[in-house]
Amino acid sequence: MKILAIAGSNAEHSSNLKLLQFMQRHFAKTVEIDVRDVKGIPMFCEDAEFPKAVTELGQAIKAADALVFSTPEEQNSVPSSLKSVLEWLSYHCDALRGKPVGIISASTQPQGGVRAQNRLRTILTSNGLDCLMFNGAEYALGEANYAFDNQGNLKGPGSVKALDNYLETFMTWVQAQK
Amino acid sequence: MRKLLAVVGTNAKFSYNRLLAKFVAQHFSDQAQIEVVEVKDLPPYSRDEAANEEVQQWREKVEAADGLIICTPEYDRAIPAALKSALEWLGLFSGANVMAGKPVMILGVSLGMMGSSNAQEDLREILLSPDLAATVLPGNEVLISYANRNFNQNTGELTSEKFIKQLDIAFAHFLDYIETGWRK
Repeated sequence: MKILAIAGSNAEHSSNLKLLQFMQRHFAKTVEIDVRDVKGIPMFCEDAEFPKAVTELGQAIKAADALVFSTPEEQNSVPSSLKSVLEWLSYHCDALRGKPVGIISASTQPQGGVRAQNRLRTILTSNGLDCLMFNGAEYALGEANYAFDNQGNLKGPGSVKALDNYLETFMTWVQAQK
Repeated sequence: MRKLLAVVGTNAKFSYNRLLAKFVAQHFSDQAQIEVVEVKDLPPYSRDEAANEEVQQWREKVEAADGLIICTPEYDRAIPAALKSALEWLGLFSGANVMAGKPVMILGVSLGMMGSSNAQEDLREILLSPDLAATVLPGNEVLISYANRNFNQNTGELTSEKFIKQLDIAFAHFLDYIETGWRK
């Protein structure tokens, strides 16, 4: 199985990107995870030319068996950097339609960005994007600035166990969609 | 007269929400001084970048205003990224939060039947988040649907009597809300 994992941040130091990079290493024997972020993709504008970076992202989405979004939370909602990419993907692009998608998040706040997850779920299931949404498990990493060691590995055994459970449940669900 | 901003919540070249912002500024010109402002020329928000001149001007305008009227379209059941980015530039991570306690009225137009209701809900949550902590006019929803039959296609004016009446009531409430905060 090939999973495309997208960190919804354009920040230089992103705990969401760190989380996905940890997953890539931690689950390397189980599944192939391609990790990206949304840095450098221009702001969506309906009058602008479709960016090459989004065409390429669309192809990577189509080639993947499933997607995982790891979203930061800005102002109790999805950051504009991620929303902009989703607007491009909903406009002249069908890459996400019917694609199995899971949502996780990391945040410096104790709640771990769950409100951004809620809005992202609403956006991804709108008629312009029409993803197949995984609802069987939840994962939100709170106080993320203290969650990793110097090597970028998740420190808390509880956090790792919850992540193991999330991915196992997610992959079983993805298999069942085929 | 109170000084208000009518914010066009999109970067699209043509937008009924821009026509609505212009209509509001003109229609209520005897009751408030309303300036139509755009978010389309602002850079995409980034925590790693300092506010440039456009962002500084946007922040100063907002800080100086007595209130904001935000006209938002709906993109994928939320507000457009261009508007969200403009709001992110106003919060704590860009210096100081210039929206704290700022009175805001939410408006929106859509082409279909929903009248941007999902985007208005998203916008309300964002404005009330700790990072902005604005004072949002409660109730008074104006959900303008079927834009192309409710605006004059030549003059760009809102022509629907029903929606103009709703706007009149909501705007009177907004001015009162700015003055009194509706505290009892």
